[in-house]
Amino acid sequence: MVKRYFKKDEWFGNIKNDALAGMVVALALIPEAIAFSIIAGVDPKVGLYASFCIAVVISFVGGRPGMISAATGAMALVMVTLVKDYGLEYLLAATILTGLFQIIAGFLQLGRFMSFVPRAVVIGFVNALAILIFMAQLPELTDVTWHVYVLTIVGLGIIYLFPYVPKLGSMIPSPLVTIIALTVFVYVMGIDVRTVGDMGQLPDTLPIFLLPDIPLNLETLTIILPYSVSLAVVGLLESLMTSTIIDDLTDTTSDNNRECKGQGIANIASGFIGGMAGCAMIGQSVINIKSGGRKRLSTLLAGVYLLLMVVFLSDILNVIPMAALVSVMIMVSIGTFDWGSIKKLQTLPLSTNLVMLTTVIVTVYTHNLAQGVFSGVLLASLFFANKISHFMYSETSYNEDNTTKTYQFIGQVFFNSADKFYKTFDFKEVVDKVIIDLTRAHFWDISAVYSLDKAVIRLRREGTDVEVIGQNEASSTVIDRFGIHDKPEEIEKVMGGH
Amino acid sequence: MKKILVCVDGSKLSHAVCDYGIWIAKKLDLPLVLLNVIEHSHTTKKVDLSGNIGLGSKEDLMDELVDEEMNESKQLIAKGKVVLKEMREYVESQDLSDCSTLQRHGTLDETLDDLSKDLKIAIIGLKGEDSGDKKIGSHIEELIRAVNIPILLVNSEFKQIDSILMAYDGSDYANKAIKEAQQNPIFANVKKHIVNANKDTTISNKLLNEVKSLFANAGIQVETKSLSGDSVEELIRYQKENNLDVIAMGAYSHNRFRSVIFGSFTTQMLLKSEKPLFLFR
Repeated sequence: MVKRYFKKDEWFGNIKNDALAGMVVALALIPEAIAFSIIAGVDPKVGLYASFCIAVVISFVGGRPGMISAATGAMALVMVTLVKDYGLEYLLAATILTGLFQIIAGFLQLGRFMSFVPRAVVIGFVNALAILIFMAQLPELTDVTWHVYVLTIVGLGIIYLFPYVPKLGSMIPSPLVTIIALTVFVYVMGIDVRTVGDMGQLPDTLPIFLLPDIPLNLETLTIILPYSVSLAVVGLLESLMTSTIIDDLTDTTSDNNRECKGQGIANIASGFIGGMAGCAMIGQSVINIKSGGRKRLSTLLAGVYLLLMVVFLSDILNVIPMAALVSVMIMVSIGTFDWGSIKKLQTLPLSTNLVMLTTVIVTVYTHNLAQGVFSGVLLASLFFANKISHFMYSETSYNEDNTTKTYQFIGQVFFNSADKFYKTFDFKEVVDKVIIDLTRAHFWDISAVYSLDKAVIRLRREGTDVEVIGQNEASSTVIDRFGIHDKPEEIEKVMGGH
Repeated sequence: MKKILVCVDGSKLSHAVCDYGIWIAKKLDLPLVLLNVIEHSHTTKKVDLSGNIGLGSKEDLMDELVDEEMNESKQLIAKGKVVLKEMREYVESQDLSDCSTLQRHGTLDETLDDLSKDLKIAIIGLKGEDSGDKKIGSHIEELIRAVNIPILLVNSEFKQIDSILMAYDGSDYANKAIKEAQQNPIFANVKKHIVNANKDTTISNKLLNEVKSLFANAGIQVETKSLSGDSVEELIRYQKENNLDVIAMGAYSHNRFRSVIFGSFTTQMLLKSEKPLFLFR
């Protein structure tokens, strides 16, 4: 087992670039972790400890080298009401339970169900995430003095313009420049704006192991269970989607089930050191790849640098104006958004666009990415069923003396095309015998079987002899299992509604 | 019909590797395949530490990385084609006509794993082209662990195989190597020396006697010798004293965890041997 689990190349194949990229990511992780703690309604230290712990643990146990996991906005949004109603300790317990569910999901190999999530839903998910991250910044931008707006805009200006500075631009992360510049400016000028220190406690020590202080009873479980399920699903969805993005960018593959288990282990570890639940981060992972990070070392170092900076620089972190964080978060939001998907709206089919937009709208409305994804998948499945149901038609023919009519069905018969199947029969026509030829038809479910039964029974009532022939393998297994048209006692039941 | 696979990468040893391949292919009368692997680094040389992402960053990054890797791959493919062509001409000049060439993407161990069911043996140069001064080719240990066919690791110029040295320690892997030595036609008419390194000479001699009778049953004469002291050093000294052409052994019989802690006999042999190694998994 050890040999497949610890691959030297996955760690040390890219040391120099990983070390640099880890630093860039760590710098961008700090504002994110603080911002997401604020969204969740907990002290910044909860998010910072979580980001450290998750990044470090996932670097060992994750299934996607080079992907960055930490405290995330998607997860923070799910836990808001839990924190508000029951407090931090329940969040920690929910985080641990989330991890357990994710490990179970890994062992059940649920990663393969990602194949049910169509591309349009993935894009919708990413866009919804970007919108949610942006919306989460709005409280910092409402009911504030004009200073904040100016600072935020200047911050964004530095982030996007500093990289154009020759030499330095591609050596120093521009979000860092923004944070330093705005902090120094606000501090020196003595401008009275909200700072990170106003938002709650920052870490001043290394994290320590602690058990959540909650009563271990059924009531606690009923409180945290729904949150844990949501967190587990959201975490895995975002992680697996991010890993496909990294797969695409780097032209490598990842181990989805190992990633599921890894996310679980990381969350459990986070819960036990006072951190909130997290998952993979699209924006940070893209930054990591852009900075040259590829291997597990980059993720590990991002976590380690983050902790060192946070613990030793907590006094400085306290005076960072929130406006600087907001600019960084707006950058993350813009960078996460799939810009190409807006351009493609005109060229893609309406159904695809509707799936994408539904995912976005439901997610933004419920603040729960899992619900958005489920709506998107459901809608996409319905559209698919609708498309497939067009692939069914029939041809009719008579024998020489017009006493026997043959219906030949071609295509897919299932819940959505079953009605069409039934309506194909001309029940008013008087013939001695009807042959239903299913040689080239596929029966998929009991709806199809039911409509065949209904047609056969109706034809027999009208005094027509019926012969069903040419059931192919797939159809016959379904008919054998569900068929009732040859059982007289069932006839009345089927025809009861007529 | 199984094939003889020869891995070439344009390094100095490519000719020697080919020569061994030709010799074995002729001896076994099997077709020869020249393989060149296009190994992608999946890393980037362009490093942008600006740390910002904006509209279309993912798409731009994707385009950049695709371009970079495309150029890298195209160069590697072109280079590989030249090497394959040169080697193929060389093989044909040595009167071996049944020779084909193959280029595949991926790491060498992945590729060998994919191809292994059609292969009799894989012949690989021990100094990979990338490894430079490091004596062991970059992924050779991964490779040996991943592949379940016999491997001949070539680390010196070609010399016809007239004699082999086999290290025997009574383990399953060693037994497998012995079985190969008995049955594999590569080793027909090759003088066999079998040694065991153990401080306790009685155990050592007992093992060797067993082996000797095994071979005797098959009608094969073998030399046996009990060595004491550090097994790697002793083996290599014995090989030099008797001027034996290759060393055959079962490889990596212990799990990776143990190798990490105690170091591996196989790795030591890879490092120190001056003659080609036959490895059986």
